[in-house]
Amino acid sequence: MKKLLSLRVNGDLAEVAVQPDATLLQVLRDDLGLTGTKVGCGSGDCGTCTVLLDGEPVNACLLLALEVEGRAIETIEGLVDHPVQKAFMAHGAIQCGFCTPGAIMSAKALIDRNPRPTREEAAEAMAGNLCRCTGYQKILDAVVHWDEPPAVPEKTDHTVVGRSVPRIDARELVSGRGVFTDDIRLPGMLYGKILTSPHAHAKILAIDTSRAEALEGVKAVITAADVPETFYGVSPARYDEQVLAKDRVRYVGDEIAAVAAVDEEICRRALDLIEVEYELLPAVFDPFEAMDEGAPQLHDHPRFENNINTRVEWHFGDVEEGFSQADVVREHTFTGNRVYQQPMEPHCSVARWESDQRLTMWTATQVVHYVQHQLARLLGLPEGDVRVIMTHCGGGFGGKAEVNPLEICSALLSRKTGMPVKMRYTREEMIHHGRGRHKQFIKMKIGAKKDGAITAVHEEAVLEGGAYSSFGIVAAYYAGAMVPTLYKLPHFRYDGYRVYTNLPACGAMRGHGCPHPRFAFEGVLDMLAEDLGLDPIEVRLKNAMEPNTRTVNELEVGSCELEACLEAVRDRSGWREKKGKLPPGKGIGIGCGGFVSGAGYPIYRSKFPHSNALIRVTEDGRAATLFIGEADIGQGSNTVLTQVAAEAMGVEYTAMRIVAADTETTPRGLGTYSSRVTLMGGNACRMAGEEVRRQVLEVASELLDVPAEDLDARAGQVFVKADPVRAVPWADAAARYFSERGPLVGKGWYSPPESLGGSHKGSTVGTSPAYSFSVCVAEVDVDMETGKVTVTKLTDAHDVGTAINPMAVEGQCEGAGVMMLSEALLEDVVFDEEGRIRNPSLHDYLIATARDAPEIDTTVVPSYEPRGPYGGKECGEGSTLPVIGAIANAVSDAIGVRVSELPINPERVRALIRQKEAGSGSPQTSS
Amino acid sequence: MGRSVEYHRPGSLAEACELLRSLGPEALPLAGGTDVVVDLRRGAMTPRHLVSLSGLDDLREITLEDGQLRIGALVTPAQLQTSSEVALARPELLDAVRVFGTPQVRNRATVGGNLCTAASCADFTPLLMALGAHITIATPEGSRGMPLAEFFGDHRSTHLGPGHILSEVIVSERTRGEGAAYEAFGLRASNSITVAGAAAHVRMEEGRCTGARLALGAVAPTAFLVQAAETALVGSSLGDDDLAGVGAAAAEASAPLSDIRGSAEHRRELVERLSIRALESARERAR
Repeated sequence: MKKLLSLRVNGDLAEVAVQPDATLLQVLRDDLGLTGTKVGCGSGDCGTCTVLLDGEPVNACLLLALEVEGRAIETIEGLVDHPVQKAFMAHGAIQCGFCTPGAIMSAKALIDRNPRPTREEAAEAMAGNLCRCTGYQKILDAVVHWDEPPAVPEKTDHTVVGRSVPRIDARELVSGRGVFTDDIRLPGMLYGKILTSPHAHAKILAIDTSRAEALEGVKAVITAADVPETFYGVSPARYDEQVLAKDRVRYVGDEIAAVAAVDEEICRRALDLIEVEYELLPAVFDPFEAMDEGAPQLHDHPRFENNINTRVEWHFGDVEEGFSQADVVREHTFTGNRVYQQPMEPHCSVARWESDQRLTMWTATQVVHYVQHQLARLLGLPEGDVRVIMTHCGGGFGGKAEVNPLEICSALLSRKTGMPVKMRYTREEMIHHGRGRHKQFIKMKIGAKKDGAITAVHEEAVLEGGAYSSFGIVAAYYAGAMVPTLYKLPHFRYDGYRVYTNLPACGAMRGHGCPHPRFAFEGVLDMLAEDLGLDPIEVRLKNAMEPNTRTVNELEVGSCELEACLEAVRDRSGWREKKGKLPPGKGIGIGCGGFVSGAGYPIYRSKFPHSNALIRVTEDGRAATLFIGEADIGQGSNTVLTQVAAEAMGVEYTAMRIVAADTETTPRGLGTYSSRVTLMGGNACRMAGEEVRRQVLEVASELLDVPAEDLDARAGQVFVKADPVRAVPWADAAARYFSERGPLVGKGWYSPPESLGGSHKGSTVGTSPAYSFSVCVAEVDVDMETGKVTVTKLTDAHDVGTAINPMAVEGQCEGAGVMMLSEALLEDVVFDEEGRIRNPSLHDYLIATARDAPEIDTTVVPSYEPRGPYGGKECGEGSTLPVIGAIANAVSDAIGVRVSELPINPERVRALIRQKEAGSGSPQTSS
Repeated sequence: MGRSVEYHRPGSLAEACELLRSLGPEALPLAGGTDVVVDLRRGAMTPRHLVSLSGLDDLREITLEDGQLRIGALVTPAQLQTSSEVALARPELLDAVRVFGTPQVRNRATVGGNLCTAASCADFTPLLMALGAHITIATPEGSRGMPLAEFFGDHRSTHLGPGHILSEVIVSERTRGEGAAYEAFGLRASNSITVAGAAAHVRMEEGRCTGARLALGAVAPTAFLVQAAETALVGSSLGDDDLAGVGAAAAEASAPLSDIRGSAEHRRELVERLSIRALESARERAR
């Protein structure tokens, strides 16, 4: 029975009737409508629900509401223009913004009691607020320097491009007013939940939903019988999923049925009442066993014989010839880890079936168009009848780059009930859904001449895929395709196998397919360097990719400053003074990486431009709205794209507004994956902005009586190039345009060059208009007795072309550094022998905290990419790729034994040290 | 979690004891809630009654009298961190505070809850055991004291009877020549469950050890005192060899599990090192 609770929230007395077991978090969000406080895990591990209780930070999810009777609660909504909020904006401490309200509350409590915290004190105070985006550097900057303006990096020949402006939505996010999908509440809204398989592999013999349907509050139950018999997935060549299992489940977590009810508690009880009769089938969890003759087959289609979902056989040049030319050949085997994106925001969607039989879907997605495309396919609707709106998205990292079961089931349940339906994953459900990084087993063989020049590379990779394709086909190709982009490889062979297993499907994750091959490659390169008595940086410089190169696998590298990156980290890290001169237990290591600036080809075959932009200038000429289909998932694209548009138009950045990722109001964009938005979206924005500018100059030409070609526009002024004092305000010209010619709009689009890639099978993967390059030096401290690795410093350098927003670029690079440190040292999804996840929480699946984040020294080297907007290219994924290799090489340096398995946890490190002490371990140089 | 749970908030310790006894095994006492609320939401616990201890303000006090530091069961780690009594009488307690959860959890969790949950990885347990702490248990018949070391049953169980509430923890004030330390090993720099922990307490007089206790956490179903440590160390000069021997004995005495945080083998290896490190710190502090 409910009890009456009175408490003081942000100074106001609130009285609410609450269930005895309701948490403060539920009461704040559901009863008081204070949705600035976020739900990230429900178990006190992430800190997104941090509020102040009598001035001290607490997790609202761990507090029963009745426990705070009569006490004072402060939430993000209670802070208005607080100095900490301003500091978070100015210092770039916000990316996706989902952890931001909680982080600000912790920071506020700290400076209330300690106005001059040291960095260590700040890290300690923020250690309970996990952030997956920022790498904590800028959060700590904001906390320590909360009352000082930041020293933001700025370097620009332009007016707006090259400036470190704060996020365009910073104010919304620091105030808790940014609407994430779970913050939406519609009249009459129902909730939905999915019943999933407890078995890794089973036949479904019967499903009885009658008891669930009879439960009071249940509005609909759906099973395979209610859903279209259409397969779906990511790549049309590999559509192998069904919305709800028809006759077979293939992993613990496979979807079977869904219910809609008036609240989630009733949904859960209804799920318990659904009776499913299973016939258990043998399951296979190891990809090598899965390929054996006689192994249980996951999919019946003959193309998936031996559970091989994707097989890549590439041979460029002649590796045997290459190896025969080598003075040294090294081969070593590496094992990666299964890692999940763990954005702070779990997936959520709200579907509303409209009275005219159209669907509106609000969702935390990276790809509104692909969600629209798949929903239209599955529901049998034209795309125009499916409107997908991206809300704020609390991080994605690839995990929200494909249509998900919540989106599909909420649409189906809304159609069936006629009511809006919200569905959200708990952290645990999200982890069971999977779609994380493939664990790769890699054999890497490299040959080199005495001077370090690489003569040939043979890579064999087996990717543990899980039960469905997801993005796996792409991952399998990327694992090979990106290897020849960093170093000049004369001969390259790649054998890739992506294998089905009875585990959650792996998908796309930041750096897609590449981190483990980079870990392997950079490791073998260090082994070769040692064999040859060469410095690891010298070997990398010897082979470093050069600008304007066609790689052995026929990719077109344009701008490339890898050499400058290598030199920058060598100088800034003090490499020469440290390498080979550190005491046991301390190590230094280097790694390189790089990535595409957008995939050259779309996920399904199409001819339309990949990115499209519209700009509409407000009728008074003083503001302009950019309409674009790309998704800002925290990386900052809405800011970067409006910067590009403002530059192209010649207006101040403050004039810009944006409407993004709404399939009804914004032109199509393929969304946020493959690091495509800065280059592709940026080019579309530049083109649209230039069209607006041309039109404004035409009107200004009449006003100034000067030919339009003699005019220019910058920072809100139109002026005569030869005599800049002769000028008219841009807004006046734009307003006049509207009066005389109607709406002032511009449109732009971008398609990658058609010629990209070779003609071999799978040649589309890895193609891109441009490539980024990154180098990282890691320094580590290894506790030789316990095996614990502490990364003490990362020194990194990046070629991202022109940094359109240097602060955002730094934020991406710092975030990449800490995320990959976390993957390298901490992360792994662990299964029991029945295929159940043993660590489906942020309590047991650990990610780096503010105290795990080392000092990071990031350099952006001068570069210009001719195919990019104002010379810009990607930085979000390439920046992740050198890190694991750098850390693994540093640990190998510290302990004197080659690290070949991830994560590099204390137990593994101790085993290596013991092997070495026993004399049986492979010394660093052995294969 | 079920809807039928009833919430009670007694205003005194006596009332709380009575209530717990009358409600029987279907009642669950609720202190900071940092474990209980998670278990409730997961359905891992399904009590009919929640007896909130939040009205028992007396249990939030820290006092120092006659050489005894009395820590109320509802004292939070954050309170210990800022307590002048703790800083004066038992600063070693901060070794456990520092590795305890997050700042948010340190504001809500309680010392009593940490002990009563009886998780073998609880950070206060080995340290308080090494300090020779006593606890007070309130019952409907009145209070009684017992050594903390005798409080635990098997894994996750205590000797609390029906209607019993752990009300305070008592440790003696630090005196000259003694020192204690806690070494916990976690997988990340902050907010990690302790994989193995060792707490040591030593007393030195004229270069000779006159008292020693070593307690281990997370390497057996419950935290426990290594009896061999006292035998081996008392009378010694606490030389490095003495400590190394005790480290080996600690590894020998532990019976760890393998789980996602570490194998039994690794835990045994860790606890040997941690025991030596804790003893070294305690020795240093005893100077």
